[in-house]
Amino acid sequence: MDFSDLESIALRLEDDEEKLRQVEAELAWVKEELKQKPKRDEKEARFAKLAGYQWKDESDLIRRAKALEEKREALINDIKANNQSFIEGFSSKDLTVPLEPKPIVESGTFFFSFRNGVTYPRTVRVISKIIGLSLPIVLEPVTISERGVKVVEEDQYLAKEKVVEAFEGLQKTLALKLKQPVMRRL
Amino acid sequence: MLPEFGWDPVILGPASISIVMNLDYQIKYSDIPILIDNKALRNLAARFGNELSKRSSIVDELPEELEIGWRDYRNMNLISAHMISLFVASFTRETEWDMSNYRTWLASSKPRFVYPWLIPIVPKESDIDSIISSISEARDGVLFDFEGEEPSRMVGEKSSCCVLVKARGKFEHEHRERLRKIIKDRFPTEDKRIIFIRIPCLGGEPGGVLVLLNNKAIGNKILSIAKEAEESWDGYRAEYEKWGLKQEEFKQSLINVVNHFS
Repeated sequence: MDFSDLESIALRLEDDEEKLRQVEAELAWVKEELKQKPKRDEKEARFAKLAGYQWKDESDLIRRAKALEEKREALINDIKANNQSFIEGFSSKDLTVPLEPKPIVESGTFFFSFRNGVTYPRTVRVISKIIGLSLPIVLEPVTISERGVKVVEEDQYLAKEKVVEAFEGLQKTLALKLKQPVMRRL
Repeated sequence: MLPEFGWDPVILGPASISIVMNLDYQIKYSDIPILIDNKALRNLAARFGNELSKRSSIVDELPEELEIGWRDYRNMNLISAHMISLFVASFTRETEWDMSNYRTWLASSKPRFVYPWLIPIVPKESDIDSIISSISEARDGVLFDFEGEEPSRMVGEKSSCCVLVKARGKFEHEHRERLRKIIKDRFPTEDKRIIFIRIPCLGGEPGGVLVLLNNKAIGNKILSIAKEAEESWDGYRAEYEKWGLKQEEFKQSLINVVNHFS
Protein backbone atom coordinates (compact mmCIF):
# COMPACT_ATOMS: atom_id res chain seq x y z
CA MET A 1 0.00 0.00 0.00
CA ASP A 2 1.38 3.42 -0.89
CA PHE A 3 0.13 6.98 -1.08
CA SER A 4 -1.17 6.62 -4.66
CA ASP A 5 -3.46 3.75 -3.53
CA LEU A 6 -4.60 5.89 -0.63
CA GLU A 7 -5.19 8.82 -2.99
CA SER A 8 -7.57 6.64 -5.08
CA ILE A 9 -9.46 5.54 -1.96
CA ALA A 10 -9.55 9.17 -0.76
CA LEU A 11 -10.91 10.24 -4.17
CA ARG A 12 -13.77 7.72 -3.93
CA LEU A 13 -14.36 8.70 -0.31
CA GLU A 14 -14.58 12.43 -1.01
CA ASP A 15 -16.66 11.82 -4.13
CA ASP A 16 -19.15 9.71 -2.15
CA GLU A 17 -19.25 12.31 0.63
CA GLU A 18 -20.11 15.02 -1.91
CA LYS A 19 -22.82 12.80 -3.43
CA LEU A 20 -24.14 12.10 0.06
CA ARG A 21 -24.39 15.83 0.78
CA GLN A 22 -26.39 16.32 -2.44
CA VAL A 23 -28.66 13.34 -1.76
CA GLU A 24 -29.32 14.52 1.79
CA ALA A 25 -30.15 18.03 0.58
CA GLU A 26 -32.56 16.62 -2.03
CA LEU A 27 -34.05 14.22 0.50
CA ALA A 28 -34.67 17.08 2.92
CA TRP A 29 -36.52 19.01 0.17
CA VAL A 30 -38.61 15.95 -0.77
CA LYS A 31 -39.50 15.30 2.87
CA GLU A 32 -40.60 18.91 3.31
CA GLU A 33 -42.75 18.59 0.19
CA LEU A 34 -44.24 15.36 1.54
CA LYS A 35 -45.21 17.18 4.73
CA GLN A 36 -47.15 19.74 2.70
CA LYS A 37 -48.71 17.07 0.45
CA PRO A 38 -51.94 16.28 2.40
CA LYS A 39 -52.96 19.95 2.49
CA ARG A 40 -52.18 20.48 -1.20
CA ASP A 41 -53.92 17.26 -2.25
CA GLU A 42 -57.04 18.32 -0.41
CA LYS A 43 -57.04 21.71 -2.14
CA GLU A 44 -56.44 20.12 -5.56
CA ALA A 45 -59.27 17.63 -4.99
CA ARG A 46 -61.69 20.36 -3.90
CA PHE A 47 -60.74 22.51 -6.90
CA ALA A 48 -61.16 19.54 -9.28
CA LYS A 49 -64.63 18.84 -7.85
CA LEU A 50 -65.62 22.48 -8.27
CA ALA A 51 -64.25 22.62 -11.79
CA GLY A 52 -65.87 19.31 -12.65
CA TYR A 53 -62.98 17.07 -13.61
CA GLN A 54 -61.36 14.00 -12.12
CA TRP A 55 -58.18 14.86 -10.15
CA LYS A 56 -55.36 12.32 -10.13
CA ASP A 57 -52.24 12.57 -7.95
CA GLU A 58 -49.37 12.54 -10.43
CA SER A 59 -46.58 13.54 -8.05
CA ASP A 60 -44.01 10.82 -7.42
CA LEU A 61 -42.74 12.22 -4.15
CA ILE A 62 -43.09 8.98 -2.20
CA ARG A 63 -41.24 7.01 -4.86
CA ARG A 64 -38.53 9.68 -5.03
CA ALA A 65 -38.13 9.73 -1.25
CA LYS A 66 -37.78 5.95 -1.18
CA ALA A 67 -35.20 6.00 -3.99
CA LEU A 68 -33.23 8.75 -2.26
CA GLU A 69 -33.30 6.87 1.06
CA GLU A 70 -31.90 3.80 -0.68
CA LYS A 71 -29.23 5.87 -2.40
CA ARG A 72 -28.32 7.50 0.90
CA GLU A 73 -28.04 4.12 2.62
CA ALA A 74 -25.81 2.78 -0.17
CA LEU A 75 -23.57 5.87 -0.04
CA ILE A 76 -23.24 5.66 3.74
CA ASN A 77 -22.18 2.00 3.42
CA ASP A 78 -19.68 2.87 0.67
CA ILE A 79 -18.24 5.70 2.79
CA LYS A 80 -17.91 3.38 5.79
CA ALA A 81 -16.17 0.73 3.66
CA ASN A 82 -13.83 3.27 2.04
CA ASN A 83 -13.09 4.85 5.39
CA GLN A 84 -12.22 1.41 6.77
CA SER A 85 -10.00 0.63 3.74
CA PHE A 86 -8.27 3.98 4.10
CA ILE A 87 -7.54 3.47 7.81
CA GLU A 88 -6.40 -0.13 7.24
CA GLY A 89 -4.22 0.97 4.32
CA PHE A 90 -2.68 3.91 6.12
CA SER A 91 -2.03 2.00 9.33
CA SER A 92 -0.64 -1.03 7.48
CA LYS A 93 2.94 -1.96 8.32
CA ASP A 94 3.75 -2.04 4.60
CA LEU A 95 2.76 1.58 4.00
CA THR A 96 5.23 3.48 1.85
CA VAL A 97 5.27 7.26 1.82
CA PRO A 98 6.99 8.24 -1.44
CA LEU A 99 9.29 10.96 -0.13
CA GLU A 100 12.42 12.18 -1.86
CA PRO A 101 15.43 10.81 0.07
CA LYS A 102 17.28 14.10 -0.18
CA PRO A 103 15.52 17.01 1.48
CA ILE A 104 15.62 20.65 0.46
CA VAL A 105 17.36 22.63 3.21
CA GLU A 106 15.92 26.04 4.05
CA SER A 107 17.08 28.02 7.12
CA GLY A 108 16.84 25.38 9.85
CA THR A 109 14.17 23.31 8.12
CA PHE A 110 14.31 20.23 5.93
CA PHE A 111 11.64 19.76 3.28
CA PHE A 112 11.07 16.25 1.93
CA SER A 113 8.86 16.61 -1.13
CA PHE A 114 6.84 13.71 -2.51
CA ARG A 115 8.74 11.95 -5.30
CA ASN A 116 8.54 13.35 -8.86
CA GLY A 117 6.67 16.41 -7.64
CA VAL A 118 3.45 14.43 -7.15
CA THR A 119 0.95 15.90 -4.67
CA TYR A 120 -1.48 14.00 -2.46
CA PRO A 121 -4.11 16.57 -1.46
CA ARG A 122 -6.94 14.12 -0.86
CA THR A 123 -4.87 11.68 1.22
CA VAL A 124 -3.62 14.44 3.52
CA ARG A 125 -7.14 15.92 3.73
CA VAL A 126 -8.69 12.57 4.69
CA ILE A 127 -5.99 11.87 7.31
CA SER A 128 -6.54 15.30 8.87
CA LYS A 129 -10.30 14.77 8.88
CA ILE A 130 -10.18 11.30 10.46
CA ILE A 131 -7.59 12.28 13.05
CA GLY A 132 -9.26 15.64 13.77
CA LEU A 133 -6.34 17.97 13.05
CA SER A 134 -6.43 21.00 10.77
CA LEU A 135 -4.45 21.35 7.54
CA PRO A 136 -1.50 21.24 7.17
CA ILE A 137 -1.08 18.49 9.78
CA VAL A 138 1.31 19.77 12.46
CA LEU A 139 2.99 17.28 14.78
CA GLU A 140 5.83 19.34 16.26
CA PRO A 141 8.40 19.61 14.71
CA VAL A 142 6.90 17.93 11.62
CA THR A 143 4.38 19.51 9.22
CA ILE A 144 2.69 17.31 6.63
CA SER A 145 1.15 19.00 3.61
CA GLU A 146 -0.07 17.83 0.19
CA ARG A 147 3.36 18.65 -1.31
CA GLY A 148 5.56 16.90 1.26
CA VAL A 149 6.88 16.94 4.79
CA LYS A 150 8.67 19.84 6.50
CA VAL A 151 10.78 19.30 9.63
CA VAL A 152 12.24 21.99 11.87
CA GLU A 153 15.49 20.35 12.91
CA GLU A 154 19.20 21.03 12.87
CA ASP A 155 20.38 17.68 11.64
CA GLN A 156 19.22 15.74 8.57
CA TYR A 157 19.31 12.35 10.33
CA LEU A 158 17.32 13.67 13.28
CA ALA A 159 14.88 15.18 10.78
CA LYS A 160 14.40 11.78 9.15
CA GLU A 161 13.86 10.20 12.57
CA LYS A 162 11.18 12.80 13.36
CA VAL A 163 9.43 12.08 10.04
CA VAL A 164 9.32 8.36 10.87
CA GLU A 165 8.03 9.10 14.39
CA ALA A 166 5.32 11.44 13.09
CA PHE A 167 4.03 8.91 10.56
CA GLU A 168 4.20 6.08 13.11
CA GLY A 169 2.20 8.21 15.55
CA LEU A 170 -0.45 8.91 12.92
CA GLN A 171 -0.57 5.27 11.85
CA LYS A 172 -0.97 3.96 15.39
CA THR A 173 -3.60 6.55 16.28
CA LEU A 174 -5.62 5.78 13.17
CA ALA A 175 -5.27 2.04 13.85
CA LEU A 176 -6.81 2.64 17.28
CA LYS A 177 -10.08 3.40 15.50
CA LEU A 178 -10.16 -0.17 14.20
CA LYS A 179 -10.02 -1.63 17.71
CA GLN A 180 -13.16 -2.84 19.43
CA PRO A 181 -14.04 -0.83 22.53
CA VAL A 182 -13.00 -2.44 25.82
CA MET A 183 -15.56 -2.43 28.62
CA ARG A 184 -13.79 -1.35 31.77
CA ARG A 185 -14.53 -3.12 35.02
CA LEU A 186 -15.20 -1.33 38.25
CA MET B 1 -1.19 8.37 38.36
CA LEU B 2 -3.92 6.47 36.58
CA PRO B 3 -7.18 7.08 38.41
CA GLU B 4 -9.70 4.33 38.97
CA PHE B 5 -13.03 4.72 37.27
CA GLY B 6 -15.97 2.59 36.40
CA TRP B 7 -18.90 2.44 34.05
CA ASP B 8 -20.15 5.93 34.58
CA PRO B 9 -19.50 7.82 31.31
CA VAL B 10 -19.63 11.12 33.19
CA ILE B 11 -16.51 10.04 35.09
CA LEU B 12 -14.95 7.83 32.42
CA GLY B 13 -14.73 10.43 29.63
CA PRO B 14 -13.00 13.30 31.45
CA ALA B 15 -10.83 10.82 33.42
CA SER B 16 -9.53 9.26 30.19
CA ILE B 17 -8.90 12.68 28.64
CA SER B 18 -7.08 13.79 31.78
CA ILE B 19 -4.87 10.65 31.69
CA VAL B 20 -3.94 11.29 28.05
CA MET B 21 -3.06 14.95 28.70
CA ASN B 22 -1.06 14.13 31.85
CA LEU B 23 0.83 11.31 30.17
CA ASP B 24 1.69 13.57 27.26
CA TYR B 25 3.10 16.09 29.74
CA GLN B 26 5.16 13.37 31.43
CA ILE B 27 6.43 12.06 28.08
CA LYS B 28 7.60 15.57 27.17
CA TYR B 29 9.17 16.58 30.45
CA SER B 30 10.39 13.50 32.34
CA ASP B 31 12.99 10.82 31.70
CA ILE B 32 10.24 8.22 31.86
CA PRO B 33 6.62 8.32 33.01
CA ILE B 34 6.17 6.43 36.31
CA LEU B 35 2.64 5.10 36.47
CA ILE B 36 0.75 4.21 39.63
CA ASP B 37 -2.81 2.96 39.54
CA ASN B 38 -5.26 4.34 42.05
CA LYS B 39 -7.17 1.07 42.15
CA ALA B 40 -4.05 -0.91 43.11
CA LEU B 41 -3.20 1.72 45.76
CA ARG B 42 -6.72 1.54 47.18
CA ASN B 43 -6.58 -2.28 47.39
CA LEU B 44 -3.18 -2.24 49.08
CA ALA B 45 -4.21 0.54 51.47
CA ALA B 46 -7.19 -1.54 52.55
CA ARG B 47 -5.09 -4.71 52.92
CA PHE B 48 -2.39 -3.02 55.01
CA GLY B 49 -4.80 -0.65 56.79
CA ASN B 50 -3.82 -1.71 60.33
CA GLU B 51 -0.08 -1.35 59.82
CA LEU B 52 -0.42 1.93 57.90
CA SER B 53 -2.61 3.44 60.59
CA LYS B 54 0.33 3.11 63.03
CA ARG B 55 2.54 5.27 60.83
CA SER B 56 2.45 9.04 61.05
CA SER B 57 1.03 11.01 58.16
CA ILE B 58 0.81 14.70 57.29
CA VAL B 59 -2.94 14.17 56.99
CA ASP B 60 -3.08 13.55 60.77
CA GLU B 61 -1.74 17.06 61.37
CA LEU B 62 -4.30 18.84 59.20
CA PRO B 63 -6.89 21.04 60.93
CA GLU B 64 -10.19 19.21 61.22
CA GLU B 65 -11.96 21.37 58.62
CA LEU B 66 -9.32 20.49 56.01
CA GLU B 67 -9.20 16.83 56.92
CA ILE B 68 -12.43 16.05 55.09
CA GLY B 69 -11.64 14.41 51.80
CA TRP B 70 -7.99 13.81 52.67
CA ARG B 71 -8.74 11.24 55.35
CA ASP B 72 -9.86 8.66 52.75
CA TYR B 73 -6.54 9.00 50.96
CA ARG B 74 -4.31 8.92 54.04
CA ASN B 75 -3.11 5.32 53.68
CA MET B 76 -2.89 5.46 49.88
CA ASN B 77 -0.80 8.58 50.25
CA LEU B 78 1.58 6.84 52.68
CA ILE B 79 2.22 4.02 50.19
CA SER B 80 2.98 6.36 47.30
CA ALA B 81 5.10 8.58 49.60
CA HIS B 82 7.17 5.53 50.60
CA MET B 83 7.68 4.67 46.93
CA ILE B 84 8.62 8.23 45.96
CA SER B 85 11.02 8.56 48.91
CA LEU B 86 12.92 5.47 47.73
CA PHE B 87 13.07 6.85 44.19
CA VAL B 88 14.24 10.27 45.35
CA ALA B 89 16.80 8.73 47.73
CA SER B 90 18.32 6.91 44.75
CA PHE B 91 19.33 10.34 43.42
CA THR B 92 20.15 12.19 46.60
CA ARG B 93 22.20 9.47 48.28
CA GLU B 94 23.99 7.80 45.42
CA THR B 95 27.63 7.95 44.52
CA GLU B 96 28.41 9.12 41.04
CA TRP B 97 29.11 5.57 39.91
CA ASP B 98 25.68 4.36 41.02
CA MET B 99 23.97 7.34 39.45
CA SER B 100 25.50 6.37 36.15
CA ASN B 101 23.95 2.96 36.69
CA TYR B 102 20.46 4.48 36.63
CA ARG B 103 21.42 6.49 33.57
CA THR B 104 22.85 3.34 32.00
CA TRP B 105 19.51 1.65 32.45
CA LEU B 106 17.75 4.59 30.79
CA ALA B 107 20.24 4.65 27.95
CA SER B 108 20.57 0.91 27.32
CA SER B 109 17.08 -0.44 27.97
CA LYS B 110 15.30 2.73 26.83
CA PRO B 111 12.31 2.16 29.12
CA ARG B 112 9.32 4.08 27.79
CA PHE B 113 7.32 3.89 31.02
CA VAL B 114 7.64 2.14 34.35
CA TYR B 115 5.38 0.98 37.12
CA PRO B 116 6.57 0.31 40.64
CA TRP B 117 6.69 -2.85 42.73
CA LEU B 118 7.18 -1.93 46.37
CA ILE B 119 8.74 -4.34 48.91
CA PRO B 120 7.53 -4.19 51.66
CA ILE B 121 4.47 -1.95 51.37
CA VAL B 122 4.84 -0.80 54.98
CA PRO B 123 8.53 -0.27 55.80
CA LYS B 124 9.75 -1.83 59.06
CA GLU B 125 13.05 -3.60 58.44
CA SER B 126 16.33 -2.15 57.34
CA ASP B 127 18.48 -5.26 56.64
CA ILE B 128 18.18 -6.87 53.22
CA ASP B 129 17.38 -10.40 54.49
CA SER B 130 14.29 -9.19 56.36
CA ILE B 131 13.25 -7.01 53.44
CA ILE B 132 13.45 -9.93 51.02
CA SER B 133 11.68 -12.29 53.42
CA SER B 134 8.74 -9.86 53.57
CA ILE B 135 7.89 -11.06 50.04
CA SER B 136 7.34 -14.60 51.35
CA GLU B 137 4.83 -13.09 53.80
CA ALA B 138 3.10 -11.28 50.89
CA ARG B 139 3.84 -7.85 52.36
CA ASP B 140 4.73 -6.52 48.92
CA GLY B 141 2.61 -5.09 46.15
CA VAL B 142 2.75 -3.92 42.53
CA LEU B 143 1.28 -0.43 42.40
CA PHE B 144 -0.47 -1.13 39.14
CA ASP B 145 -3.74 -2.87 38.34
CA PHE B 146 -3.66 -5.61 35.69
CA GLU B 147 -7.43 -6.03 35.78
CA GLY B 148 -7.32 -9.79 36.20
CA GLU B 149 -4.59 -10.42 33.62
CA GLU B 150 -1.61 -12.59 34.56
CA PRO B 151 1.39 -10.19 34.50
CA SER B 152 3.89 -12.87 33.41
CA ARG B 153 1.89 -13.40 30.22
CA MET B 154 2.06 -9.73 29.34
CA VAL B 155 5.82 -9.34 29.47
CA GLY B 156 7.46 -8.23 26.24
CA GLU B 157 10.83 -9.25 24.84
CA LYS B 158 12.38 -5.98 25.83
CA SER B 159 11.11 -5.98 29.39
CA SER B 160 13.54 -4.58 31.85
CA CYS B 161 13.65 -3.37 35.40
CA CYS B 162 15.66 -1.15 37.68
CA VAL B 163 15.86 -2.36 41.28
CA LEU B 164 16.45 0.31 43.93
CA VAL B 165 17.69 -1.34 47.12
CA LYS B 166 17.79 0.75 50.29
CA ALA B 167 19.20 -1.43 53.07
CA ARG B 168 21.70 -1.40 55.89
CA GLY B 169 24.71 -3.68 55.84
CA LYS B 170 26.09 -5.58 52.92
CA PHE B 171 24.25 -6.27 49.69
CA GLU B 172 25.98 -9.42 48.50
CA HIS B 173 25.89 -11.39 45.27
CA GLU B 174 23.60 -13.92 46.98
CA HIS B 175 21.06 -11.16 47.77
CA ARG B 176 21.10 -9.98 44.17
CA GLU B 177 20.48 -13.54 42.98
CA ARG B 178 17.57 -14.01 45.38
CA LEU B 179 15.98 -10.76 44.28
CA ARG B 180 16.64 -11.57 40.62
CA LYS B 181 14.90 -14.95 41.00
CA ILE B 182 11.87 -13.38 42.72
CA ILE B 183 11.53 -10.82 39.91
CA LYS B 184 11.98 -13.38 37.12
CA ASP B 185 9.42 -15.77 38.64
CA ARG B 186 6.76 -13.09 38.34
CA PHE B 187 7.98 -10.97 35.44
CA PRO B 188 10.21 -13.09 33.19
CA THR B 189 13.11 -10.79 32.36
CA GLU B 190 16.62 -11.44 31.00
CA ASP B 191 19.38 -11.17 33.64
CA LYS B 192 21.17 -8.43 31.74
CA ARG B 193 18.01 -6.34 31.76
CA ILE B 194 17.80 -6.28 35.58
CA ILE B 195 19.85 -3.41 36.99
CA PHE B 196 20.47 -2.95 40.74
CA ILE B 197 21.07 0.39 42.43
CA ARG B 198 22.16 0.43 46.04
CA ILE B 199 20.95 3.26 48.29
CA PRO B 200 22.58 3.80 51.70
CA CYS B 201 20.21 3.42 54.65
CA LEU B 202 20.98 5.97 57.36
CA GLY B 203 20.55 5.70 61.15
CA GLY B 204 17.58 3.69 62.28
CA GLU B 205 15.45 4.42 59.25
CA PRO B 206 13.61 1.52 57.62
CA GLY B 207 14.63 0.37 54.18
CA GLY B 208 12.91 -1.26 51.24
CA VAL B 209 13.18 -2.38 47.65
CA LEU B 210 11.55 -0.58 44.77
CA VAL B 211 11.46 -2.43 41.45
CA LEU B 212 10.70 -0.14 38.52
CA LEU B 213 9.21 -2.47 35.92
CA ASN B 214 8.92 -1.78 32.25
CA ASN B 215 6.85 -4.14 30.11
CA LYS B 216 4.16 -4.03 27.49
CA ALA B 217 1.34 -4.79 29.94
CA ILE B 218 0.86 -1.09 30.55
CA GLY B 219 0.77 -0.27 26.86
CA ASN B 220 -2.35 -2.39 26.39
CA LYS B 221 -4.12 -0.62 29.20
CA ILE B 222 -3.10 2.86 28.07
CA LEU B 223 -4.24 2.23 24.50
CA SER B 224 -7.73 1.26 25.63
CA ILE B 225 -7.82 4.39 27.80
CA ALA B 226 -6.66 6.46 24.80
CA LYS B 227 -9.45 4.98 22.69
CA GLU B 228 -12.01 5.87 25.35
CA ALA B 229 -10.53 9.37 25.59
CA GLU B 230 -10.85 9.91 21.85
CA GLU B 231 -14.42 8.63 21.74
CA SER B 232 -15.31 10.86 24.66
CA TRP B 233 -13.63 13.84 23.00
CA ASP B 234 -15.46 13.28 19.72
CA GLY B 235 -18.76 13.03 21.61
CA TYR B 236 -18.35 16.09 23.83
CA ARG B 237 -15.83 18.23 21.95
CA ALA B 238 -17.79 21.46 22.26
CA GLU B 239 -18.12 20.98 26.02
CA TYR B 240 -14.36 20.39 26.50
CA GLU B 241 -13.47 23.32 24.23
CA LYS B 242 -15.66 25.54 26.41
CA TRP B 243 -13.29 24.73 29.28
CA GLY B 244 -10.28 25.84 27.27
CA LEU B 245 -8.91 22.55 25.97
CA LYS B 246 -8.48 22.87 22.22
CA GLN B 247 -9.05 20.10 19.67
CA GLU B 248 -5.52 20.42 18.22
CA GLU B 249 -3.97 20.25 21.68
CA PHE B 250 -5.89 17.11 22.64
CA LYS B 251 -5.37 15.31 19.32
CA GLN B 252 -1.62 16.00 19.31
CA SER B 253 -1.36 14.70 22.88
CA LEU B 254 -3.33 11.63 21.85
CA ILE B 255 -0.93 10.91 18.96
CA ASN B 256 2.09 11.32 21.29
CA VAL B 257 0.64 9.00 23.92
CA VAL B 258 -0.50 6.34 21.44
CA ASN B 259 2.89 6.40 19.70
CA HIS B 260 4.73 6.17 23.01
CA PHE B 261 2.74 3.31 24.51
CA SER B 262 2.22 1.19 21.36
